[in-house]
Amino acid sequence: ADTVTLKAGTFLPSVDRIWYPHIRTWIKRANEAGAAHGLQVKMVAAGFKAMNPFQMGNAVKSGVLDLVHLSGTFYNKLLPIADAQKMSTVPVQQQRTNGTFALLRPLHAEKMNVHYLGRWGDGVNFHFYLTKPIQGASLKGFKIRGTSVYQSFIEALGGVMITTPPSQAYAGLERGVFDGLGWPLWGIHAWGWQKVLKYRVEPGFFTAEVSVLVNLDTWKKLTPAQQKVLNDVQIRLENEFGTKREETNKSQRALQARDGVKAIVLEGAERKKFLETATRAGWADVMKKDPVNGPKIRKLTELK
Amino acid sequence: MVRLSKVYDALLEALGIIAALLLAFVVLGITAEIVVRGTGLGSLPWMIEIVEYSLLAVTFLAAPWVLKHSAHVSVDLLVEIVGPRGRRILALVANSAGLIVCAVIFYYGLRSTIELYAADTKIFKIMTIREWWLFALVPVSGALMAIEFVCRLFRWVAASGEEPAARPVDTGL
Amino acid sequence: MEWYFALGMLLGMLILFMATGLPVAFSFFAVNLVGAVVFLGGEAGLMQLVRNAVWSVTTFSLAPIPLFILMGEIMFHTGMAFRAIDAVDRLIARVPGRLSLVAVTGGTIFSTLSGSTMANVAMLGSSLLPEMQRRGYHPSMAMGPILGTGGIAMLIPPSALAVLLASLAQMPVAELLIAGIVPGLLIALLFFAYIVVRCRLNPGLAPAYVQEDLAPGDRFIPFLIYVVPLMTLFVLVVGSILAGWATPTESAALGAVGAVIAAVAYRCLTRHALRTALVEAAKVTGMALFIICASVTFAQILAFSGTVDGLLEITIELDFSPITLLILMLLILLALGAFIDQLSMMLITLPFFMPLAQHAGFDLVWYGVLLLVVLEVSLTTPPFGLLLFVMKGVAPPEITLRQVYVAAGPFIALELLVLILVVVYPALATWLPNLIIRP
Ligand code: NA
Ligand code: NA
Repeated sequence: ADTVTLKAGTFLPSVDRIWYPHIRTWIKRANEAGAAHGLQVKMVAAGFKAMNPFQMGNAVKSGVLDLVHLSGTFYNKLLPIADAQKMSTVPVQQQRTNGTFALLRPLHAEKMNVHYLGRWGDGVNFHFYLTKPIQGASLKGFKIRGTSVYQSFIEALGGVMITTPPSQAYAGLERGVFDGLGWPLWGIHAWGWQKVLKYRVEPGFFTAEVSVLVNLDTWKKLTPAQQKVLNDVQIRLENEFGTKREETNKSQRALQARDGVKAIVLEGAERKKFLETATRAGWADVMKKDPVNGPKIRKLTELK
Repeated sequence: MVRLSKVYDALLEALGIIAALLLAFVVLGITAEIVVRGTGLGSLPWMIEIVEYSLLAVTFLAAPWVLKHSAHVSVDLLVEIVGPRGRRILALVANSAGLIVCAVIFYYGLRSTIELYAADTKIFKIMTIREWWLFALVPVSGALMAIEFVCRLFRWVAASGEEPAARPVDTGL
Repeated sequence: MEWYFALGMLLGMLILFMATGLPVAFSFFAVNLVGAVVFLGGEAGLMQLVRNAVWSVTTFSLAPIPLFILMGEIMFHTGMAFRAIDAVDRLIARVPGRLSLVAVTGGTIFSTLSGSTMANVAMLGSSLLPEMQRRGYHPSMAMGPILGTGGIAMLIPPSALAVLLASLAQMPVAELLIAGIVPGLLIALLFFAYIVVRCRLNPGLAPAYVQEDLAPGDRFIPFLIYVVPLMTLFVLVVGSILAGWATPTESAALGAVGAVIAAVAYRCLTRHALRTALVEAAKVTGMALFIICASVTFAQILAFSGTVDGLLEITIELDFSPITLLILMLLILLALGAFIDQLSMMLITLPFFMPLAQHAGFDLVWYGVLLLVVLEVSLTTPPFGLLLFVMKGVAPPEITLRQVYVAAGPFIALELLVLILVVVYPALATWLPNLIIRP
């Protein structure tokens, strides 16, 4: 039979050295296991090069792309509830069995014409990185470079958010256009920011997440064996990621410490206030975007 | 017919003026953001988005007007060499191709807009806006440009002669 | 479909459409229609084309293009530019090839202040060329410097083309803007030296003539009044980035506002001038951004059809040394530049060149400056160099296109010399940005 080739896309640039290798491995394994079943995955759009990540949701919906590794923030215009995944505090393995996937799958199918294959990247928190220290859980007087992911939280802490492309963030930090930025624990070195950043606020908040979506028409045309190949590869990544991420979390902290990015650790009441504000602001944003499914998903994905 | 074409011309000129005013707005908006931020009065975080949407509007509103003024840059290497007969054939091909392009832009632009309207997708940035507001510019622009190419084809048939040779255009860069 | 077949088909169609005289933007769109159906999946591909068109220009990083263009148009339509040239004219006296030097100096000053090379050539051509001819300047000495400095506008900030290149190729904007300063000044300096030496060796090229004797005050004061304050615009744009007031993108707005304030101060801001400047800027913006609308889908089709990967693989297999690769790329651009405009050149080549440049490990800022120099030269390479046509347009009717070609020759050679120097000594491009921006 003919080989089916799936065109894949992701917001992560292929030169990224911390996140992208997971996708490379994912594709390699899919192709190894798929060879016997006439299935092939080919990356055609990684990073901003061939397609703007904010368009990849539409592209996988229409079938221009067959498969994407994409964070919810890039496709929340099609499915507002996608933002909720950054708030989840339960591991993906639990999401698979506790009804979260059962809730998300039909929503993705209906609104986006995709099969929700799974998610990875969880357990890597976001942090504020600063050029001057903060006193307690407040960003009053701070200008922070951020995106819609951070907006409600930055504002709740009394800070001002500024939006620039990441490529301009270095100059902005160095020249004091803003006093810090929000970014996951992983990957500030990819932009050279460790040279101008002085502090990382601990604790982190929210979680990174990469959802894996397959165009529904494509998915339905695959044979059960082909579907199993993709499922297995995805579950394997989720499990491996869960065991390996603490290592990388540790090595990223060490790398930052080596390059002079000191941790400001909030303790006691300030820490509590910081985390509570994050939770309150983050969920309020989700509820505003989807008042119907927001409460349901909060019940499922918030660790009691 | 003459009246209709006058309305059409006036419409395009109006679009040109709107585009120029939007540019002025972009200049003032960005400057305002710099001043507000620099003087410690806070920030206008939505300004970036407004500028982005303005750039989109300038592009699509100005495109038909730019076409009318033959200010879209083109390569007239071959057009300059061939005789009047060849030039007519090239003009026929070019304007037909332009018409098809704009008709397709119009049709799929309209379909995208209708789909987005039906799905009511919103863009969540600092401001929340409806996506179809942006896409509605595409069919409007496509239709106006298609009309311009039809006019050119008519002129070509009626005048049975010289399509005025395109002059090199100031790309301004 | 094999990638080389896809590549041949896409480029072949593009050339055909462009050759008919269909504007560049529409030619790209025409190829995209076919490419989207074939490689992006039928109707879904055409819907994607529309989405690409919308989102490609809804991008803050493109804002400097209209802003820099507007800045140049304001300088031009208010007459500030003419006064500055006139002031330079008074300053330079009793030097061989005086008017040619005025052209170089005035052009360099004007080009530092405007993003527009065309406006530059048109202005200098129409104001200085008749004067040079009356003084018996040889046509090559009259038109050459004007053609040459027209292109310096692209290297010295503000430069709309540099911003465009940076945003299409995802290069750091601020670094690229600043990296162009030294090579730009170097080109101006070489032009200067060339003119003085040529005119000294052959006084017939630029006959000396008796100048009315100006009092020192009359020579220097106009320069202080009309040129020096304008330089604050340059300082405003570059300085606001360095001082942390504005991001590189935002600084362009300050430049445009600064130009308006300067015009008010010189009492030459009429409503008509402001309106004309805005309308002309809108026209050029509409043209340039509409091409970008089409370009994103074109690049996407190249990626989806496997063309980019295919070409990349074959280049890696051939195992060129980085320098061979670089020379090949620059030669391709020079060849293309003889026939098509700069925007199209960038749009056709960048999807291939950027992965190759990354593969070869080039410093992107250095590479960007090289591309800018080549793009600059391409404006003056026969047969299609746009500046050549502009010059022919403003020159007296007895000047032939051949004479314009010949006049451009030596100045093209000097620009190529700078290109080679930057290749051999990358520090010419990277030293200044390293000094003030980069870690
Ligand atoms: Na310039
Ligand atoms: Na050329």
